[in-house]
Amino acid sequence: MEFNEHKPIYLQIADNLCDKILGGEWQPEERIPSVRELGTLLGVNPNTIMRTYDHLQSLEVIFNKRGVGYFISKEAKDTIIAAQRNQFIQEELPKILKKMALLGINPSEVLI
Amino acid sequence: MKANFSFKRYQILLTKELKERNTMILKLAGIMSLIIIGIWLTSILITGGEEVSPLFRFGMMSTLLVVSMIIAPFNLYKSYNHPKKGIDYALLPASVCEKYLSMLTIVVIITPLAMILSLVTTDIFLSLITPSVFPGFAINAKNLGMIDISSIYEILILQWGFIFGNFLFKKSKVTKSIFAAIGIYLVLGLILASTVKVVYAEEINQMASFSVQINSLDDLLNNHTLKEVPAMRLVMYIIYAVTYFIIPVGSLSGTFLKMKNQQY
Amino acid sequence: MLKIENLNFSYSKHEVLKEINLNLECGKIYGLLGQNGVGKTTLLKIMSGLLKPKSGVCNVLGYNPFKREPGFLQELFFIPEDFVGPDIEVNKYASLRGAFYPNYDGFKFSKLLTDFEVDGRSKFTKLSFGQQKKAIIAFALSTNTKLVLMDEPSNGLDIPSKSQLRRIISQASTDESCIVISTHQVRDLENLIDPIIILDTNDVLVNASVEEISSKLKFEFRDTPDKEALYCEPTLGGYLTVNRNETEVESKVNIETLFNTVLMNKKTIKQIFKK
Repeated sequence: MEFNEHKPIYLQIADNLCDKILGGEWQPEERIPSVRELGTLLGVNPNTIMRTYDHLQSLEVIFNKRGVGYFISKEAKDTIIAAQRNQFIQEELPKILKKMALLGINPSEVLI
Repeated sequence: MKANFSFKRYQILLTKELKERNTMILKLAGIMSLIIIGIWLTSILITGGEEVSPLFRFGMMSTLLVVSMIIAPFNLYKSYNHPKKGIDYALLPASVCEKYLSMLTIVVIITPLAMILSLVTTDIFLSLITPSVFPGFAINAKNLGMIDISSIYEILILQWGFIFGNFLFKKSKVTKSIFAAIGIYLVLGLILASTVKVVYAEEINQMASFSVQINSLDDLLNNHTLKEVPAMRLVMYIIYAVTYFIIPVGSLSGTFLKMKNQQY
Repeated sequence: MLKIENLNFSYSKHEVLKEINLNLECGKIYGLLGQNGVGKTTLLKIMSGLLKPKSGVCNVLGYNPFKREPGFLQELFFIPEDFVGPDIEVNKYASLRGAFYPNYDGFKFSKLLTDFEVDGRSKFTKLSFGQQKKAIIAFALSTNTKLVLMDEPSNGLDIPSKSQLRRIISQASTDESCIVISTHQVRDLENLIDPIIILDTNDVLVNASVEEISSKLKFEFRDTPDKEALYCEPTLGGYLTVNRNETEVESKVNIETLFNTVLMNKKTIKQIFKK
């Protein structure tokens, strides 16, 4: 896994896991690798993975069955899509609109 | 108590040390036996089968034993105080006491026994196949009778000194140890000689033929002429104490302290 | 698990460590950074009992390391930077020494050797420097000691072995163990070491988790230089800047940049990280 220069690692790993869920590689209610397994796989500090899982748990994308491990929530896909839509509308879209205005691009030019 | 010495751990350590060093010990024993074989071959090939007496062989074997005992600590425990190679041994989970005792067990007991076994077997084998060259065994009642406790002890003192040298010096250990040993004996000899010279100044002046025959410390101590002079007696006892007590105890405890406080 | 108080050390007249205070906890993989000659190796050697501090306290798991008691040595493994193995087979070395470590796992050792592609049947003296180093790292992590100290573990390793090393160390860390890794090659171990310790001759400048660092410092990529920044360095297509983090948003901690920032702002950094 390649990491970029901007986001904290634990969030980058979270994004990567979300992509796996959206892409269907990981199915709802499926068990995901343990903190240690994923840490070993990526060569990343287990505490970082722990933060990733805590983060995804607080977003209700995954949940923890005590003594068994972490599982993907039933609604994970919807949750992720909702969160990403939200982020797109609030953070990325304004930037795009601003740039389009700057370059004088009319929305109808890019809409197919 | 268990922190300093556990017999079980000592056993594991001794086993480990022996398994790591067995080839070196065997090599050393092999070389010693080869020298005996060399003497045998020399006799057959060069001097035309002239016989080599058991007494000569016994002397040769004793010398080889002493040499191997002095070489052993350098050969087997050379890297203990090496700044890099020594770390591995220093951090091995055993106490200094266990490491010290296992080292002594190997160098003082096991290695000499291996040498004796190898030398004696070679001698017996050769004298059985060519009785004309090696008549009789080197190990016989007469020769063994010559061994006394004090000469064994003197060899051990020498060896312990060299063990200490191995832990004391970091570079060119053998040379430095030999020079240190020679130095110590020279100093002791000088003290003795100058005392004799002062005490017997008159006699030496009067009789040019004054001589004292001293081959060993025992001779010195049993020399009644010398013993009668109080100053001589004092110096003799000091030298006796230094050689038989202070040097060995100092070597053994010095080695222990060096092992305990060695920094890397 | 490890506590150092007012520690001083010098080589004859050359002072190396001065009034050092440091606390290490279980369950972490510490990265020990510092310029050449500030005494990283010396500190690791003091922690493992190879050197005796001139004054001050070093307490590891309740032991005084320099006494080298078996109970302490059983829970410690120190891997020197330039490890040179003895003239025996790797497997023999491991089985003979493994007996001294109560939690030694021989299967783990063979597995790690396989992962590292080292042949356990060859003698150390027949292996390259990197191979020997991998063998001793594999053995160290198989002893399952509570404290593992590694001095420049990635030195001498080829590229595939470096990522293998990150995986193996991550796998080896447990809640009960503490791993301390000193390194110059920060990139080799990025994302693995956390917390980060930055050592100076007479001070520990930083001892903080990556989370804490990113909550206190903001690492940003900008188009224009920032003169007010704690640190600003030109990179490909812009500038990398470090400022105090006044927001709730975390950025990615770049350890090399962090290191440079800390060295240029020793006092400010101390203040920012004051607890």
